[in-house]
Amino acid sequence: MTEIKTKKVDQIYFEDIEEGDKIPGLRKQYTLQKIAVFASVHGDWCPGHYDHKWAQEKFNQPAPFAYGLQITAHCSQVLTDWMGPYGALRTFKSRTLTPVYPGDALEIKAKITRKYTERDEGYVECEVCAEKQDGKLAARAWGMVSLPLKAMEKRYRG
Amino acid sequence: MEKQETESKVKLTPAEKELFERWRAKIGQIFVPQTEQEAMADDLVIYFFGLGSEATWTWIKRWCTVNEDYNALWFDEEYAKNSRWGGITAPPLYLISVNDGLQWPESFTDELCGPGMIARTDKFPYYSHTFQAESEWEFFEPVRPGDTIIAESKLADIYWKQGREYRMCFVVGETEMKNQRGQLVGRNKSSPVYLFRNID
Repeated sequence: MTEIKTKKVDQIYFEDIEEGDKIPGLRKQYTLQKIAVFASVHGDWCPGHYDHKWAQEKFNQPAPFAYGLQITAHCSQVLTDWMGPYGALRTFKSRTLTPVYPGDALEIKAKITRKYTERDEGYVECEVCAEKQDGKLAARAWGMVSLPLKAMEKRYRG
Repeated sequence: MEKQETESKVKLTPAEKELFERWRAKIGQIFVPQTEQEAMADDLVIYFFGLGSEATWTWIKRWCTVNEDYNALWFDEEYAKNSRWGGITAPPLYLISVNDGLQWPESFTDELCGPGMIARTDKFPYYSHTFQAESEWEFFEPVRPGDTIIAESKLADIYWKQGREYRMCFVVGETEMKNQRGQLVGRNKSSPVYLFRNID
């Protein structure tokens, strides 16, 4: 079995970030195969997502299109990649704006819009946008992440 | 109030009005298959969902691989030990694979389209297409390998808005997901839009 090269990041603390900070971005390349394998784990098997004829005739689309919730999952990854092992994604809301087709690539970018503490927990609100190679916005999303406070580090690490 | 005012301005055909009113009466109802088509979905789909919603580590890793999300939190037991949750968890949006929150809207689609997704143009000549506008999630307890997730979907709202080119019907479903210990894992709110061309 091939070993998967996993991603590990150093913990980022609530005290270390500022409103307006950028979060490292993520690039997702879409192919017909990647859309079809998403169908296999999602359970919505509408052929418009992998059958050209179906997409054109029944959906009036030039080609099969990625799942909206596939793009949503990808947008959330920009936050889970960044939050570190003691971070947690609390809420996530996404709006898909324009279809994504095989051959498209999305640059997923995020920034911090607000930070506050409540009951010894640090909360960070973030804005995410997924931009297509032609500059069009494919999705916008908003997430809230809780990050550990340095002052509370003992609680996390025992 | 504002919504009702907008709604009264949206012109509907008798069939659209009947559909809308029948559905408005369902607000608050928990989802169980309502239409013939849901009950008659092909074996492939029925068997797939009949497998249940046990979140095995294999399923979690499959979801992550498909999404090219190789965060060690989902794959590496040693690394995950020193994390907020003290062990392997699934990425939050893994819940999409358990329940995407779209049962109610899909059931509404079945009113507009017959088998093979062919629009019932005789009954709804103005219906054009639909898209998933917004999806909203809240996460509480994480999903851990071996958890069984039980979901319940409620029809939360249905309403019309008048757009420039289309009359837009929003069907809002709310889904709550709990694990086998009865802990709340997540909540989802989904509202696809059904577009109907304006009546000339």
